[in-house]
Amino acid sequence: MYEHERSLVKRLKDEKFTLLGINSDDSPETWEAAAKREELTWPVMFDGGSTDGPIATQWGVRGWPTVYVIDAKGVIRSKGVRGADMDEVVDELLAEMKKEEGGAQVPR
Amino acid sequence: MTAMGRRLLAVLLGTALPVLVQAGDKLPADLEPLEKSFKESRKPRKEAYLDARPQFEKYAAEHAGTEEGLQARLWVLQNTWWLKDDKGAMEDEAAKIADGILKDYPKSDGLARLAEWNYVFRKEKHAELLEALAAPEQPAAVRAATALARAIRLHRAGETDKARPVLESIVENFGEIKRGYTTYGAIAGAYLNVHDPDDLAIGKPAPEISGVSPDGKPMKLSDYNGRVVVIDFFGDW
Repeated sequence: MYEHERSLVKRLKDEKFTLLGINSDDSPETWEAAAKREELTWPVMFDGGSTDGPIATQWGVRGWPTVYVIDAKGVIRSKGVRGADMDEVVDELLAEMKKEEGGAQVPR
Repeated sequence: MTAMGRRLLAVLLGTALPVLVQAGDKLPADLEPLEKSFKESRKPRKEAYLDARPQFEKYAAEHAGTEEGLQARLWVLQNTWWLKDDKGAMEDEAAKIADGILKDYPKSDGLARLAEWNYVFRKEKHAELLEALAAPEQPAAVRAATALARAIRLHRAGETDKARPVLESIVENFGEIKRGYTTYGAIAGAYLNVHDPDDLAIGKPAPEISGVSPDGKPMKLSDYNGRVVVIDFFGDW
């Protein structure tokens, strides 16, 4: 189940990209066991040990997984994308960020 | 600022970090191997549950009246979930088990789970349980769970005006009580400050998220400013 996330993180390891997990499992050990078993390396916040955790509650999450994609300026740009669609959105946002960074360096 | 105001602010600022102490509910060590083989069994969950259940019940009978006995019975109750595909079986079984627990373990902290596990009960049955569990002689942890279950029910029914005073009383009266690895105050505070769906729309700045890593270190969404971020709400299930 972590296969896609793992390959995305690996492919973009040198880019300004982060996969941030918000974990609703019942104990921190559940994630730690999964991370070890599946060789998962991305940052995770532990949401209090239930699906009523404070973060999921504030964000109104009622189904798992729920995905938001945020651009480099912190703006929500996409929701609910999985698999290849997620890759595409992330790649576009990385390209957009590079274009803007590059643009700023051009002397006028 | 009132004490409640301070607590709400603490929740909002993310300073009310989850308490990383093992929660009170723990399966007795004797039952851990049983649970492990239940989890690892390749049988359909329902079958695995029905296989394991008599052993949990036997343990519960041998340890009647003790915390260990209660935890064994709560395991049997929670896992009625695996009967969910048999029409009414989960609800019937859960109601029977819950009544037995309520009778044999009145005023135990573990009764909080009866309030929490609304998903195994029929709506009317759960309402009846909440009524019993709200009694003033129940321990604070049980009353806290009951109040939160009621507030969540109102919240999900769209009755946020009715949910609000219940949630505020949880923050005020039960704010510091642990629920799993967080507190009732943190959860009630989150329900009081649910983001407007419009603020989570595409094109809106993502609200800050403050939390802790599984090993207890503070983390924030804004730690990743200047990067493209996929926020993935997930569980290992």
